[in-house]
Amino acid sequence: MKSYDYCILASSDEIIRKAEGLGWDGVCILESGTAVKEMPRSRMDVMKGLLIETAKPDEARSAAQRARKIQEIVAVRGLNEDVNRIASETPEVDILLPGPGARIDFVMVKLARKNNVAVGFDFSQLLHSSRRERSSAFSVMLENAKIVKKFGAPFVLTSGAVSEWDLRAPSELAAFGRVLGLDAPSIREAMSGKMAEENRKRLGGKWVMPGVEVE
Amino acid sequence: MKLKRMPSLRDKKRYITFRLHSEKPVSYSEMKDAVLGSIAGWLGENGLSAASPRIIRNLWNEKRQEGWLSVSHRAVDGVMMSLALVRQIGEMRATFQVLRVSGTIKSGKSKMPK
Repeated sequence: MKSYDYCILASSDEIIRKAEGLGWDGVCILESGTAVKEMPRSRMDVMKGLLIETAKPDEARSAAQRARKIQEIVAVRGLNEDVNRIASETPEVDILLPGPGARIDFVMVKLARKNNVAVGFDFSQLLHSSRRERSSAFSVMLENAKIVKKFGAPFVLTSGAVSEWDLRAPSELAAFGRVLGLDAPSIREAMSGKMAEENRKRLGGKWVMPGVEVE
Repeated sequence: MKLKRMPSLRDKKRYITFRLHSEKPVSYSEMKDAVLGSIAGWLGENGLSAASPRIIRNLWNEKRQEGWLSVSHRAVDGVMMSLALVRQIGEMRATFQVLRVSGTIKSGKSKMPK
């Protein structure tokens, strides 16, 4: 079974080498700028994506729609509930990463399932916090995980690494998912390369709509 | 006199094999403090006693920075999460990588990645 980390926030040779050593089969490097940079070379599958980080809902939607045709992964970090809502309504978004303290509710999760937007659980929010802050971030994650599980919405478990020291092995992120109360088969699916495969097919030019491809 | 315990009442253990990545090699005592401190921080004192973690001293390989940790089978995920939350040991940046979880030391050794 392949394992992919869809949210790495820095691009360097060290981070790629470390990810390879930890046993990842693929990583997605998310960058805030729209300029498409050269990715570090590796035997591992290295994808590029865009991270939209904004507090303005309309800006998030238009940026996602613009980026869809050139980026392999489009992620939105919602800094407030309005952005989370818009991101879950937009099918062009692949991953919704609720920002620290920005909650999601069952309406957003239902919309995310309908539009195939994966809700992200970012391990770095726990790693870069301590005590009180960590416990409140974890309680928000537990709430989100409960709703995601109830409505069967897609989700991803990500390291959110900004340096090679923030990377964690696939087995540790799977343990993070199990601690959140998510079940093992859905964790395996969340970490698989399914999303990457689907998005590459869409960017290939032969894809028209789900189930329709031009030969 | 050695106290005996019925086999059915014995704790079911799991052995976690881990590798420590750090800027400089770390000694056994520093590693032990970091592991137990992190488990206590994440699971709390109650969770620490339920997990009953035990670092197996004679299996600590200082050269390869690899070690074995025995925990209760119910606490494996919590302990793995605690290990993942370690960011530094002393002033050094460090991370733990879980290599394998096994039921016995023998099976863990035979299936360890080279």
